[in-house]
Amino acid sequence: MKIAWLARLWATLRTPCVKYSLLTVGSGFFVAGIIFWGGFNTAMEATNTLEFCTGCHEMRDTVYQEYKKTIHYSNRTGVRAICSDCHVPKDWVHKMTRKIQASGEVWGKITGVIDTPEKFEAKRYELASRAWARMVTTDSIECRNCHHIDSMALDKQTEKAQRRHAKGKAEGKTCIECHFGIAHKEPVGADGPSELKAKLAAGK
Amino acid sequence: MALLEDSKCFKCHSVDKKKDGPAYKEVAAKYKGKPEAEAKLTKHVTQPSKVKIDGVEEDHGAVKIRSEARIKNLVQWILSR
Repeated sequence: MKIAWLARLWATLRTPCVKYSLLTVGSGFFVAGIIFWGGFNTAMEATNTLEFCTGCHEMRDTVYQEYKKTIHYSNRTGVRAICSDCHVPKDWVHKMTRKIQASGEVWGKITGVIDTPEKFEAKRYELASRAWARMVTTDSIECRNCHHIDSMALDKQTEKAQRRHAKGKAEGKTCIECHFGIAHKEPVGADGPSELKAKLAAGK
Repeated sequence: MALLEDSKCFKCHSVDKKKDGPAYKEVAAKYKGKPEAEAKLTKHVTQPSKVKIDGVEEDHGAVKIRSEARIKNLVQWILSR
């Protein structure tokens, strides 16, 4: 019964359209395409909001509370960087790649791998090192959502910062190698971003 | 930890990772078994001084409070890493 219904649908889909003009069919697809694309992007953007990211207690009770004390949450200019600004690249290809990777976190939620503060602390270094490894391989793409070295007015930075940035540039460092643990508690663990970068480069 | 964060110590120091300043684990190892450790470190975190980073002399800041109990707690925390 079900197979017959499917066969009929398939046959209908394969039959050339004789009732409507090519223009009507084309226009229909065009409008449907806009609705689909708009809906897809709206849903995608909904997963980029602060409310979405802090919708689960795993993030709300831990890293979100730490981030609320930092300059990326509250500062003199009132510009706030939310979770997705630092954890999701802006351009479409990298954003989709990140979203596909992040879908694994849904499995983590279902299986409750970090559903208590103790479990979260036990996993903190692993989670952080995963984020660091990702950032050293993308030249800190998320930092560069907002910060661009070419746009920095070096003369407005402190002498200390100028020296550090010149040194970092000369050594081919990426943002996260120095600016880690700035929005969340720095986890105790063997390797920081620089060490992870060296290991990844050596293929370890 | 909160005092270290408020005083921006983590800009140059980490608990166990390499940054421009020595990791607190290295500091603890350096002072291990030395009776003058607490006094030396207390002076270092409460009085501005100069430190050398990559051969250049830089100002080393001091914690932003005067509570002896909290400073003692901070120094002991570093030494126990």
